[in-house]
Amino acid sequence: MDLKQIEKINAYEWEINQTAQPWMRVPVRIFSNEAMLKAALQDRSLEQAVNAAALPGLVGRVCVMPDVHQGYGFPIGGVAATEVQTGVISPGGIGYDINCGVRLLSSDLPKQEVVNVIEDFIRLLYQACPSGVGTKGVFRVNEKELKQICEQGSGWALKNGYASRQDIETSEDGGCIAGADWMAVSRRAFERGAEQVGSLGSGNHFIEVDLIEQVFDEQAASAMGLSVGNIAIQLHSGSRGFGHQVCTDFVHQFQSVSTKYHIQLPDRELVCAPLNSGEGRAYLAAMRAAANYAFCNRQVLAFAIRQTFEDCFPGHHLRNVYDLAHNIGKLETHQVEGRELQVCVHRKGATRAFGPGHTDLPQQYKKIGQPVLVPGSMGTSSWVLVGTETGMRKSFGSCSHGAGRVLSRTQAKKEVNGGQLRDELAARGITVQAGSLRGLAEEAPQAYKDVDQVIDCIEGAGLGLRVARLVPLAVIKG
Amino acid sequence: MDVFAPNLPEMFNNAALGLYHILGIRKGTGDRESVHIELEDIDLEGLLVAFLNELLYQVEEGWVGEEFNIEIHETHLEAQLRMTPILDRQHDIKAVTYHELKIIQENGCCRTRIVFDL
Repeated sequence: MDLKQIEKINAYEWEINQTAQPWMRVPVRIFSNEAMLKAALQDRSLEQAVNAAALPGLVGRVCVMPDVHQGYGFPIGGVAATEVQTGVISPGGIGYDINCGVRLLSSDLPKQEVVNVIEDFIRLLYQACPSGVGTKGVFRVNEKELKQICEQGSGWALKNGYASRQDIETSEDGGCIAGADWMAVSRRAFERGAEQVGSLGSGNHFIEVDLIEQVFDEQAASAMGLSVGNIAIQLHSGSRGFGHQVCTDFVHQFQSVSTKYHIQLPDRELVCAPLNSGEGRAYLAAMRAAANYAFCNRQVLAFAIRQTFEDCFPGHHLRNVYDLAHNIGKLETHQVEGRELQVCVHRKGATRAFGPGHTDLPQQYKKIGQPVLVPGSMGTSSWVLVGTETGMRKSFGSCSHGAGRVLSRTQAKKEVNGGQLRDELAARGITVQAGSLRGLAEEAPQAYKDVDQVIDCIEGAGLGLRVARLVPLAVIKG
Repeated sequence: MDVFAPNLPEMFNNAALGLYHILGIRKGTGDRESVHIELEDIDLEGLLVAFLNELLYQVEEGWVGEEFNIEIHETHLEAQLRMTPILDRQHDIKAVTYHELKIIQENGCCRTRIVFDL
């Protein structure tokens, strides 16, 4: 793929025509500036977007976010919508870490009350929130409880005292996607999931204590409880071994299912099943169970974070701003070429970003639009945006999920010394707690794109609007 | 991960050793167990992914394979594994992917490239 095959629509939008490859059913729309687009051409992410355009039943366009990078089959930072009656669902278009997502908690605690005790605070958070390779969670659940988590998501946490009603109201889908069925989930997923509720995991998962450095939209920031100079906490985790197993099971099963339905695809990782087939419905039900597991996992972690925070800073409270998914498949209604259609929106490394007035938004965000959380890399800014009406039309109400990798984990480990990185971050006033220095090196800022440029592109394309910028004070790296 | 060997069973064996290497496994002591695996899939690539996913599951259960006796017949695999308890490991692998997976058998050599989701 090279730049000549891509048509410039405007400074922030580019298109790969449907005729670029014979299997393409729709064009690919890229939201990016020229510099970031050229960077994206260095890996195979745009070829993967072209391959994803082969999925039967696609409508509109395959959308590519400015933080796009190469995934497996489907690019990370890709959005594709398939028509519910005639289209397919592809586990690879959602990802192995089903409902990997982000939560933001805001506080009324000013930075100056934290800086002198930040090392103690982050150490206590590290103890309260299990993290790292193969970690067990805050508690082990039995089979009956796990089945309830599959079907109730964060609702299970509410019933068991690990959530407030406000937490639930300010989570995507209220922290529970309807239509989950534990019976569609394998025994192995259950075995892996039982021990990991309330665990951060490893890789790029993190907890970050941030300073709210700048506010761009006072009204929206106020609705979210974000004030300049105060502390906020971000949490990034997913469905752990439970979700990985669900995706693995169905990618494996769908290898033969695609053949059964005579679906030709350019990449085996894109395997899929018709949404209205038994196999498609089974995956949808299992994927929703994994998504609910992830909602509950982040909720239990948020509860542990809140308890630690309130112990350390009596009289202050952490309020849930929002909890959202960025690896998910959702049945949603969108306007497509003048028609209202029910579609399955695959978001892989992309965040839902509904505009103001959408019926699925909680009352407090109806006027401003959905909060969109875009974490940067360790040591750089993170952003809070709101979704827009323009985004509803252009990208099925979707937005970037982060900065996007430019170095693979292996490359990052070769180029970055973990100990040196920890010292550099400390010199900049950022405290780090990490399970391993090699793991830390994998998540070095130089392994990621410039998140500020990503935000420029998102706002330039009209997919989101800036609300606040956060800068890190301390990070727990899973 | 690039894997090669003179024949398919050895290539599967080497892929298993590479998987354990990426996970950074340290073997513990204790009673060993013998595990028998039987897998069916649509092709050799599918069998390789299924085999490695089976080993990943065993790792999650706390076991690492030491001795492998693998037989492969087109779309069927049988393996007898001697398992040892794991003391600890450095990394997680989310999944073994089918990303551009192709097993090439030519000139008395079997080779492939496997991409993991870490």
